[in-house]
Order: sequence, then C-alpha cells, then structure tokens
Amino acid sequence: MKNMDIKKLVSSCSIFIAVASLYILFSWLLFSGDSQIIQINQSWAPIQFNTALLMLLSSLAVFFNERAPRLTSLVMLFVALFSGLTLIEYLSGINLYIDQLFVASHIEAHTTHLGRMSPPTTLAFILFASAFLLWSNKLRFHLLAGVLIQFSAVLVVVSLIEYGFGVSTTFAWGNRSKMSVATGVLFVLLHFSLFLMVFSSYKRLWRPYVYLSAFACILVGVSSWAAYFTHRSKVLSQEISLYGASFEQLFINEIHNRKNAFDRMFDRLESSESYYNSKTAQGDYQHYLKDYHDLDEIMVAKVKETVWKSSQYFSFKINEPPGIAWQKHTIENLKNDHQVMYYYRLSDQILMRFRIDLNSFVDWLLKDKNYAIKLSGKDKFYHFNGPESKEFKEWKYSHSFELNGSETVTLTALPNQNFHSHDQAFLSFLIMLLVFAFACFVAYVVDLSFSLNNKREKLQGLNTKLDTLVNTLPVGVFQTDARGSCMFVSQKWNEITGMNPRQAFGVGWHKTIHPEDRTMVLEAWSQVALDKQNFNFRYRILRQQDQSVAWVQAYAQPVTEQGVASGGYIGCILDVTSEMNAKAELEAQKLIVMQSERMRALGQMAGGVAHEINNPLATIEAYVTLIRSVIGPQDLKNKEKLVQATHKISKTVHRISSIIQGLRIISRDGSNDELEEIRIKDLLDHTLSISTERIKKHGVELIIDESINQDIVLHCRETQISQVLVNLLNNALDAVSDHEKPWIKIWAKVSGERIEINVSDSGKGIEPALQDKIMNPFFTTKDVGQGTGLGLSISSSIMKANNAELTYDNNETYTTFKLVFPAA
Amino acid sequence: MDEKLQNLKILIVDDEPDLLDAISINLELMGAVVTTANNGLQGLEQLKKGEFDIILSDIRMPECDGVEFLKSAKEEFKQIPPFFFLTGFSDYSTETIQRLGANELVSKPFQVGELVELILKHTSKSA
Repeated sequence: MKNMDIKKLVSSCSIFIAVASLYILFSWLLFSGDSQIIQINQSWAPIQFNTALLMLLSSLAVFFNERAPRLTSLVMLFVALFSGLTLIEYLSGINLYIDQLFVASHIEAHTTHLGRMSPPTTLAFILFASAFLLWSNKLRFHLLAGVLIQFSAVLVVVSLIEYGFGVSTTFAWGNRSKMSVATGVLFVLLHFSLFLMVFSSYKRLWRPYVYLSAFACILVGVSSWAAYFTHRSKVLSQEISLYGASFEQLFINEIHNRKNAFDRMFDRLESSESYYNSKTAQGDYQHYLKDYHDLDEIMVAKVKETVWKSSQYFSFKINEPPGIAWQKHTIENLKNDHQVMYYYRLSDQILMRFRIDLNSFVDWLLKDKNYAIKLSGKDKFYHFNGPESKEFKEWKYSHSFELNGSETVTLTALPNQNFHSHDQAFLSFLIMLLVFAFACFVAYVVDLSFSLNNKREKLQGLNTKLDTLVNTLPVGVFQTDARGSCMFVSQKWNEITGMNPRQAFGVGWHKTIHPEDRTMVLEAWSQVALDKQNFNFRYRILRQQDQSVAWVQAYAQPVTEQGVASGGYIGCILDVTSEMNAKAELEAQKLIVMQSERMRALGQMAGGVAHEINNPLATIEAYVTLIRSVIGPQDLKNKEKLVQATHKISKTVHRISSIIQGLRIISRDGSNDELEEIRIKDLLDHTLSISTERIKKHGVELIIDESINQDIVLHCRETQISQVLVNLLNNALDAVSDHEKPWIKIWAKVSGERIEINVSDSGKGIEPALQDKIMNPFFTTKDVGQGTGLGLSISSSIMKANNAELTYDNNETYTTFKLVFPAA
Repeated sequence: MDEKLQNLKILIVDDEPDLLDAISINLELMGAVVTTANNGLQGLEQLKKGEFDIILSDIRMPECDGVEFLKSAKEEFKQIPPFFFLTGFSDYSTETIQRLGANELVSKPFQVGELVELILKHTSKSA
C-alpha cells in the first residue's frame, strides 16, 4: 500500500471518529442527554461524556500528529492521565470527582458510577495513549507501540464480543460500568488508524502476517481466560440455585433480619438521640446480624471477621454455606448518607445487590412503627411506601430487578447478568479464532522462509553484480574505516598500484604513495576525514611492481548509514599518468613555440643585419681585391706587407660574414626546413662562430678535436642542430665557469652506423640521482630566474625531430653529452 | 694584368654605388666592358639598349628587385645571357633561384677571383 493511500485512510478514520464524538458530546450538552443518540437502544450501555471527549481528543491527535507533533503529544498525555485517574477511582474506590466534571450524567443503564467511563475503556485509552506517545516524539519505540496497540485492540474487541454475547464477566469487571457498543466501534477505528500510521512510518516492521497472528494469539489468550471464568460462574450459579429453596428466599430472609435488627436499633434510637451515629449503634447492628446468622436455617453462617474501617464504612464477612466457597457478604455505608448497600458477591463478581435508605427507614419508622411489622407479614415482596426521594429516583433508569415493580421503590435488587445462556456459541467462536490464528501463524512462517530465501538469492545476485562492476571499472576501488585503515581494494586497484590486497590492508597502502607526496596526501586525508568531507586529490604513486611513478586521481566519499556518516570511506583511484604526461608535453610544446617565436623575431633581425652588413663587406672585399691587383704588378717598397694587409682585411671580412651567418642560422626556426646534407665542418664553423667569442671571454678553453674527418656529412636540419649545440655549449659554459682550469671540448666519433658529436667539459659528471631527470621539462639546477629548465628537454625533442638522439654519457670521466646521428 | 674577360659585356645591377664601382673597376681591369644599373628597372632599360654576355644582379633593391628584374627580362627577351644573383642575404635558396632561371647565387661578401671563375665558367660554355 502506498503511503498516500495510508494517509488518506487514516485521515478519514480520524475524521469519522471526531465527528461521531462531537455528535455524542453535543447530545449530552444540548439535548440534555438524548438517550437515543447516546445509547442508540435504551437497553444498551451509554457512551459516557468523558469517553466521547477523550475519543474526540485522540482522533484529533491522530489527525494533526504530523502538523503539530508536540501539541498532539500533550493532548495524548492528558488523555492518558484522565483515564488513568478514572482507573484509580475504580481500583481504590475513592471518588476524585472527575466523573461528572463536564456534564451531569443521568443515564445509568449498565452503569455503576454515574458518568464514569467503564474500566475496559480507561484501560484501552491508557494503552492507546502510551502507544501514541511511544511512537511519536521521535522515541522510535515502534515495536513496543505496535504491541501496545494490539493489546489494547484485543481488549476492545473482546469487550465488544462479550457485550454481544451478553457476557460481562471479565471486561465489565463484574457488574461495573460496561463499555458501550459505540465506544467499542470507535476504538476499533482509532486503533486501526494508529496501527497504520506506526507501521507506515517504519516500513521495516510492515509484516501484516506477524501482526495479524500476534493479534489473534492475544485475542485467543484473553478470550480463553474470559471463557474459563464465564464457565466457572455458570457452575457456581447452578450450585447456588440448587442450594436451598431459592436465592430469592435467601434475600428475603436477609431483609427480614435487617428489619428485625433495625427494629431493635430504632427502639433504642427513640430513647437516645445520640445513639444513631455512635459506635454502640454499629456494634448493635453487628450483634443483631450475628444473631440473625446464628439463627438462620438456610445459610448456617457465622460472622467470621469484622472489619472497622472508618466511621463511614464497615464491612464483615460471613462464612459461606458448604459448596459455595467464595461467597461474601458485604455491607457498605456509603458516605454516611444513610444508605446501606448490600452486595452478594461471588469472588469479585456481584451476584446481587440491594440497598436500603436509612433516612427513609428512619422517617418511616418514626412515622409508623407498625408499618415495619406489616413488612414481615408479606410473603415475597415488600412495599416501602415511604416518601419518594431524589436519590432513589435515579434508580428508575437502571436496569434493575425491582422487588415491588413500583416506581416508588426504595429497596432495589439488581439481579446479575453474568450467567449467560450463549456460552456454547462463545466457546465455538473462540475455537474458530484459535484455528484462524494458527493458520495465520503457519502462513507467516512459510511466507517468511520463502521471502528469506528470495532475499538471500537476490543478495547473492547483487553481490555478484557488484563484484563484476567493481572489477570491470577502469578505476581502482577501495574502502577504509573511520581511522583510514584500508579494508578493501579491488582488482583494478592492485593493477594500478601493483600492491596486493593483503599488503594494502591497514596502513599498508601508504607505501604506494610517492615518498615526496606522502606527507601531503596523508595530511589532506586526515583533514578531510575529520570534517567528513569528500576527498578529491591528485598525487603520485610508486608502482610496486617496477617502482615507476604514476599519477592517480583519488576520489572518496564518506560512507553513510541511515543518513549518518559512519566515518568510513569508499573511493576510487584513477590512473591519470598519461593525462599528466600529455599536460607536461603540452606545456613543453607551448614553451618551444614561445622559444621559436622569439627566435624567429631574432632571425628576422639577423636577416636584416646580414643584408645591411654583407653589402658593405662585399664592397670592402672588392676594393681590397682591386688594391691587391693594382699593386700586384708594381714594384713597391714593403709590397709584401701591403699584400699581407689586404689578405688580412679579406680574412676579417670573412670572419664578420661568418659571425652573421652563424647568428642567422641559430636564430631561424628551422623546424620546417628539409633535412639536408651538412658537413660537420660547416656545422661546427657556423655554430662556433657565434659561441667562440663568448666562451673565450669567460676564460674557458675551447678545444675542437680536429682528428675526425670533418667532411663527414650529417643528414639533418643545420639550424636546429646548431641550436642544440649552442645550448649544450651554453650549459657547459655555465657549469665550468667557476672551475680552476675550465675547458670545453667538442669531438666527433664514428662508430659503425652512428656518428657522434660529443660536448664535454671539465665538470666531473652529473649526480646519478639527477641523471634521469635532466631531460624532463622544467628540470633545472640553475638558480631561480637563471634557467627555464627547458634547454635539454627542448634539445632532446629537436634531436628526435632530426632522427637523432641527445644522451648523457655516464661512462665518461667528464661531463659529456652526445649528439648521436645515424650515418647518412 | 691578364685580361681574362677580354671584351666580355657585363651588366651589374645593385643599389649600392660603392659596390658597383668596386666590382666594375675590378672587372674592367680584367678587360670586361661593364655597364651598371641601380635597380631592376634601370637594368631592364640597359638590356633594351644593348646585348650582354652576362648579368650580375643584387636581389634586395628598391623599386624593382632582382627577382622581378629576372622575371621581366625573361618575359621581354626570348633569350637572356647567364644570370647571377649577388646577395648579402635573401630568403631564396639556391634551388629556388635556379628554378627562376638564374645560374648562380653568389653570397656577399665574395672574393672577386671566385666570381671571375664562375663568370668564365658560364660564358665559355655559352660561347
């Protein structure tokens, strides 16, 4: 059933109850207790004003519970207190004056106390209110609330059933006020509403079979108990009726005896005014009674025990005739209002009661002493023709057996209704319920085992799916507890980190974090775990299989149990190494582009300069040639020196030209050039033309190894290789400038298919730890601002673009970088 | 002085007057008949006036540069003499120059002797 449907059902139930209760309340107040509305049938028990009031409050509490939980709880607390006080009245016998607090009651069918709710009604209200309070207020005692509702509902149902069968042995508590049919019906609806609310708000407890069978079991238990007592009552009543002439005779004799006693008492009363309320009178009364019992022929009874409780109340017990063991005979003087109430009780059950109004007795005795004597003359019925009093009038409405059938009765006896004639049907009904309950229980057990099996299978299926999912995900899944200890890692996690689950458990996984990132990651992790935040971090790991470095992106989320973070985490790591590499590559490319932009600008300038300078150089050269050719044939003094001078001028012109050529080559963006055949000699000439001066200026010796055949041809882009060489020379210069005897050496070597150009310097090699990193972008050993860390990285990629390779040679004693070309 | 370039008619086009002078004197001393022009347009006019055995032209020149000069010359005359570019710096490679129809690319500064060698090489073949 959907939640909305349940809510609608509950709302309509509570509205119905509220309307019905209001109707009854108004009939009490406005229609002066219209018995048609309150009782429906004149012979049925009325629904008391208090009952209707509490019913209205309860239904409103159910209806408004969601909107005003605190207020409704207070209202239900009031309901529980009020019914609790009523119950206390029953149990202790004291009057708290709450029965007719709101309205004076006058209907007394099935009523022992005017306006007072019947005991089962109070009990049902207490249980209902307790269940309601347990359920609301976020106490979450759903199960306990459910049990209380069931118990209360059973009380109501059994009361209704008993009422229907005319049995009130147990649930009206003897002859006390009975729960009316209307109350029972409204209660059933009320309980149903609360039951639905409790279990719809807590779906996990929604097991109709369980509650139906539990309900039936409680019902059967209580009913059996009731049936037992009903049966017993029947037996006893038969015994009683068999005993002596009749119970009525017993009663009549009793009246006789009272009359005699009172006769004698009032004889003495005449002589003394203060006698009436004195202990003497009471003592006399007991004495006379004792006499009577001693003389009694039918019930050979003795006063066994006399209890003096207060000046207003006294009672005594008499020994029962053999066979009727628990019969008690009690006399109560209620509130000193001159009424004497007689009860014949079997156990706690009132078999018969009657009362005598002392006032009227007194009045009557004073008026006409002889009238009392008349009483004894009558056979069975006694006519008390004393003055009609208000107190007796109320008895007219009670369902009573009147001795004289007259409305001016002052002596009333109420025959008991406990001996029902339908006990056979009642017992059959109980047996049917028992069978039904058992059937429900069996159905529940079968259903439970089926659903458990189903659930287990579903769970297994789900587990398999989850496993498959976790293992096919491209990410490594892991789980940690609140302290960050690893509890689970997936297959993929093993693959990414190279660590097996057993090693990863606990804090083992820390080992996978790259040592340089470890502190940072663990600190970030503990910070995040403290705030129960999501973890999203990128760090390096050390693959356990080969100690290689990889980048991972780790995501983790706190595990929640019923909306509360338990402290543990579930997360995953994603291998982002290629992404990071691509990023670095991109960054490097960007810098290369920037570098070449700069170079291009320089190249353009160098081109302009070259043009501007080469023209005058050509002019100089041409004039020098002219001079030489002019002085050639002439016989001049110092002619040799002049010719030499012209040659020197020519040489200088070529040097200037060569420098400019080198500058042009080095500053060009050669990346789009075709691969060309370049002689090593030309390459070195062009490169060195611009570097030599700088190297020499720093006092560094430049050694060019001439031993190699410099006509060897390389297949490359001259511009780019020159750039690489210049870069290597610059690095070398920076490295050696503070050496004592600094030198840089360039030497070539041909070995098989390879041509090597080596650049060595007076440095003693690079630290082994750094050797792997020097080719990485942005790696630099120079001071901040001195180097970009791009030189070797860019050089390396330039070499690759020329089908060649730049390597560091760690076999050499001195720092040596190699340009390795394939033989052209 | 030997007259290697006896009666060889040479047109030199360059915007640098000093350079023109220096080369002309050198070549004239070797017996060549040298005509000069300051840019491509002037060069074309000279071509119209008379015949030449060889043309030496700068590339970068104001108004009409060497490449345009070569193209125009090729368009106007069915046959042109061997054509050398003398350049201090250009964006043209040797291959491009040859494709355009020039015979040599001589980088400035050059040694006059080398230039003469090249001139002889081309004029003797054509002769």
